[in-house]
Parts: sequence; C-alpha cells; structure tokens
Amino acid sequence: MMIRTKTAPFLRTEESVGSMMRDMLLALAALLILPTVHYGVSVLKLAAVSVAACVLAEIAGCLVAKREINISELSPMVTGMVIAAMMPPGAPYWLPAAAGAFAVLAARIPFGSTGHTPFNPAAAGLAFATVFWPGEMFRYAQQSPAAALKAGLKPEAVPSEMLWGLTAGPVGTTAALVIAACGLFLFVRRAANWQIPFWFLVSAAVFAALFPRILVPPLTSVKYEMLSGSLLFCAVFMMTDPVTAPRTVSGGALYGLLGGILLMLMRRFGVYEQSAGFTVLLMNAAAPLIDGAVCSLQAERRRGREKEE
Amino acid sequence: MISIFSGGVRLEQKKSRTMKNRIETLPAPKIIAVPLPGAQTSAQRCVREGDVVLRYSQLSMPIRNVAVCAPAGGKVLGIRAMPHPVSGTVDCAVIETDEAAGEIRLESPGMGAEPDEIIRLSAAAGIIDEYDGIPLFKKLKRFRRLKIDWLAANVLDDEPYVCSGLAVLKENRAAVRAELELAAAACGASERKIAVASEMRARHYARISGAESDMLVSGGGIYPAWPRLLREQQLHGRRPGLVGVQALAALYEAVEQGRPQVSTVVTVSGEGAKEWKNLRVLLGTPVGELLAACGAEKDAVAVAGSPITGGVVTDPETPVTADTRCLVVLPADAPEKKVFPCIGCGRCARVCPMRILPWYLQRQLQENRYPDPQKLYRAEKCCRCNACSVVCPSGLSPAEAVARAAEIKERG
Repeated sequence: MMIRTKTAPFLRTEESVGSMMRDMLLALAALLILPTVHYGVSVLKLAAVSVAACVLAEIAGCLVAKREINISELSPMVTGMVIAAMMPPGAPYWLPAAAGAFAVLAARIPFGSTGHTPFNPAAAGLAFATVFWPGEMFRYAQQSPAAALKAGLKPEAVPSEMLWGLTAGPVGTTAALVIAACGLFLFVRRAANWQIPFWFLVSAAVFAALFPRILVPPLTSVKYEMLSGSLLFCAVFMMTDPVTAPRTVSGGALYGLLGGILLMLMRRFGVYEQSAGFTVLLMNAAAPLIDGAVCSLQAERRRGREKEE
Repeated sequence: MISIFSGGVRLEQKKSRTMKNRIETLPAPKIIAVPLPGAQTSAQRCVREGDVVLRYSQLSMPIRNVAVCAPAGGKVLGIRAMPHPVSGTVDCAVIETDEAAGEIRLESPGMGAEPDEIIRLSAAAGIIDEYDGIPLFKKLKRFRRLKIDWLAANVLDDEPYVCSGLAVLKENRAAVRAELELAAAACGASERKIAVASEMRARHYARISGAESDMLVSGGGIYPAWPRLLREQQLHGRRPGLVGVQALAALYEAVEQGRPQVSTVVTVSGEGAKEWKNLRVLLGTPVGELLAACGAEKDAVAVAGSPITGGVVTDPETPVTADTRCLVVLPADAPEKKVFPCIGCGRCARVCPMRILPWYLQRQLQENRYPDPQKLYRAEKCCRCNACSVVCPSGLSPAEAVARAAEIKERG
C-alpha cells in the first residue's frame, strides 16, 4: 500500500491495472486445467498460439503506428486467453491466431491501446472467426448442448453433468463450477465487478424460464440455458471488461439486463449456436449511451430536488 | 451492518506499531520557530527581535485568531515567514531556547461553564483544532450560531499510520470527557459523543471501556469517515459537529491549570523511519528534530498532515504547527505506481463520499477545451478527501480533475 508519487495522495492502494489483468489471466488459466485433463496438451498449445498471436500483433501494430510498445499491463494476453477459451478443443492452430490478430489489429490498435477500445477486442476476434469459419468454430466430437438446444432438441447430458465440463463445447466454457469459482475469485479480488454478471444472469434466467426453447419445465429450461454454451463465461469474463462496459452502477445493471435478454434472443432467433461475441459487441456499442443517459438522468433528478429545496 | 451510504475506502491501518508505546515527550530543541497564526503585523505581535521571553509569555495577540504563548523561554531571534507543514507559509517567532529562562507561574482561571467564558479562554489559550487548523474558539462560536445539538470529539484518525488522536484519547480519557461536556455547554449541544473511524479499532488501540465506550460512534472503518458519520446523524434529524480531541485535551489543561496550548502530539511513522512513535513536541519544533528522534533515513520523504491529503516537507526547519497530526516518512526507494490510461472501472465514483463521478469529470475536461459547466455534475461538492486518487488502479489523480472542474464551475 506504500507507493510513492510526486503529489498527494502519497498512499495508494496496491491494486493496479496490471494486478487486475494478472488476476484475470490467473482465472483464465485455471479454466484450462480441466480441458487439458480431458483433451490433452493440445488445449495448452491452442492457448499459447492465441496469446502469442495477440502479443505479436500488438508489437507489430505498435511498430506500424509508431507507438511505444507496452505490454506490461498484460491486456493483449487476456484477449488471447479469452479467445483460446472460446475455441473448440480440436481447433486448427490458425483459427485462434487469426482471431487474435484480428482482435488486436482491428479492434485494439486503431483506437489506441488499453482504456480507449470502444469494443471488447476478444469479442471482435471471436465474431470475426465465427462469421468466416463457422464450421471450424463449432466442430465438436459430439453434439454440444448448445447445438442441441438450437436444433430444438433436449441435450443428451443432464444439467448436473454439465457442471464439470464433460460435455462438448468451447474449451474454457463448459466447466460451469470452475467458471463460478473463477468469477468469485475475480469479484473478491475486485478485478471484475459483480453487478454486471449478476444482472446479466438474472435477466437471461428469467427469459429462459418464461420462454423455454424446448418442451421442459421452466426450471429445467433455466438450468440448460445457464449451463450450455458460453453464457456463464461471457458473463464473467467478457461482459465485465471495465473499458467497454458502462461505468455507472445503475448503467452496469441496465447493461447486464439488456445483455442477458439480447443473448437469449440471439440464441432463439440467431444463426449460430454461440453468439456471445456478437452480444458483447452490440452491448459495447450501447454502453456509452447507457452511461450518458444515466448521468444526465441523475443530474436532472438532483436539479429537480435542489429546486424543491 | 450494511449501510445505505456509499463511498469510502478501507485501508490497511498500520497503527499497532505506533500505539504499542506511550506518548513520548521530546525535549525542547535549541531553536524553535513558533507559528503565530493571524499575526502578520507587528501591532498584533507582543515581541520583537532581541527580546527575552519566559515560558508561557505572550507572543502574539491578533484580533481574529488565537493568542500564542511561548512554548519555551529564551531569546527571540526574529520574526520569519516559515513554510507551513501542511500548506503555504506562516509567520513564526524564532526563539533560541534557554532552559534557565524560567517560566510564568500559571493559575487555574477557576471558571464555571459560561459559554462566553469558555470561548474566550480557548482563544486566550491559543487552542487550535488539529484536524483542520481552525481555532477552537471560532469553531465553538460557529457551532453555537448553527445551533449544533450533537457534538463529538474527533478521534477519527481514519488515515493509515496516523494515531495521534487515539493516543491522546488513550492517555487523557477523563480529560476529554470532561472537556467535551464543557465544549458542548459552550455551543449548546445536548448530545456528546466520541467519533472514531471504527469502534473495534478504538477499543483495541485506545483501550476504551466503561463510560467512554457508550459514547463511541463510528464512521464504519472507512476513509474518509466523517462524511458518513455526519450524514447518519443528519438523517436522524440532528445537527452534528466535530471538535478535535487534542483541542479538547488542551482545553482541559487551560481550564484546570491555566496552561496555554504550547505542545501537540504528532505521529511519526512510515517505512522510512526506524522507530514509530507518538511524540509530544513543543509547537514550532523543527520537523527535522522529530525525524531524527525516530531514526528517519537521510533521503526519505516526509509527508506532513496526512499521508493522503498532506504535503511533502522539503525543509527540515519547517516548524510543527498545531494541525500537524503526523509525519509519515516514506523511504526514497518506495515503488512508484505505474500510470495507465483510465480503464473505466468506476472505482473513483464508488469511493466518493460526495457522490461525484470523478471519471466523468476527468473525461469532460480531457475531451473539451472549454467544458460546459452545466455538465460538470456535483464538482463543487468535493470535500478533497482524495479517496478517488487513492483507489485509482491506473495511478491517475482524478481528485485533481475534480478540483479543476470545481474551479471551472465556480467561474461559470
């Protein structure tokens, strides 16, 4: 806590952007443990390729833009790890490399580096890969629960089996319990705020209970929707990105609520079985508007109150 | 207890090491530079260069500020403007102390609880509130005018390292309680409390028990503690006021023995100092003496007033004033916080006790050369607690942006 600066305050908390990103990386790395046990070392190679692609793209981009190369805050690596976690286990190595390069070169470098990106780079990279190579992005050994639900079928796995990541799906997103534990770690360490995922999951769950995609009781529908696909992962690791999410507390709640509904609508009416990347991108676009609206609303309410006084 | 009040940040306290020992009295140094607040003209001062003064003889008697007495006898070397440890400069009477100089015999004024008498005595005894540097008599007068009905001794010490208030409370419990009664009588307050940042911490550090323990009110263990504390009282329909605990202890001495305030308790701690102590020093003692007494490193940086809102002391000759509650010594090789662009985590807004959105103001100022004052929401409410800068993970200083925004708003 004792950190020196030139001006007051002379004490600052030790938390920094670097430490937040480090926690994020740690949580993302923990997600890869179970898949490595299931699918072998190829998962780790996938992650390594993805991270390397992002870091190299960052360095190349900075060189071209004649900007100082600074990867000490680790955010390109976080982007790489998020992309890796969203890849299918047997993905060819060029797929995460392409997604990572697009994420950094198209969604990060042109806007300036950390803190200035209007869209989550990882989400942009995933959307890019999904649009160009949907076949590769959703190729699993067996039918994934998300694909079954998309086809209007009941997944073969029961919800309790989906907790441990035994079902088909993107590498880092199938073990719901591990994601929940990582989420808890991030919230406790305050590397991510808990309000956005909370409201995101609440609205998605309510939507799933009200409009089940398959003929099951509402509660079963909620369980399947929550545990299938990348919903949980998206809630914890992508919606919480502070740069692209609203900064006000009530704005964050609105962002989460709308994001949950949007994701469920995409699952129902969209083309792809995974549309988390698109949801995040669309919500990112709305985030500044939400913040602006919340700020001016609060200001008006206060002005009204002051006039009354 | 879950509170509806937002804001504040929990910080590691680092007080135990200092609170282990009793307050230590530092002997009078060779040269002291006694601050004479409000005595800019010679007409308001009672001494000239070359005068020999006794201990407790009058040094200044300004109309709108406290009277100051000599903390030690000796020869007046001159009146000089010295750097104030917290901000700006202050006129000081530089005295070469002489142990053989003797002192003026003091007598208890033997007074009742007449409000005017108490206020007059606190002006004559030169008592200054250590938390904000406002003379006690002015504070009491203002409280009386505002019809304060809830008065608390300010023992917050909500910043890390600082524990001079807690130490004074620990060693002068009865005195603080008695003078709280008196101060409350002076401003007409019916309820008397002891305001602490956290009850548990106060019990632990200041060994509070019995009657005092019922008087404790806490600010929830956060920094800054006072906005929440006062707002809670206001919600209960009270008009709250805070008086520094050291000022109360000084008032006790003035009432009982007729002794003016000539000393203050300063916490000297921080990783750059070998020993962490609460020192009772004469007003005007050079800061360098305190640092030497605690074995501070040579090239260490000393921060006076508060580690969060205070300023760096560059001149070791800087005198200790009544509102110098602490000297935090930072080692020269302390790591510097890396600066990143704002990532929009919103932490600054969450810790702000005044519900300002520092990130929003900072963005407004960055994006527009001439920002619209209408859009600088609540900037004028800033209480300068610097909590937003403390928590910023990007190492930025949103507090500076808020201050600038407030300035722009004021100019319109």
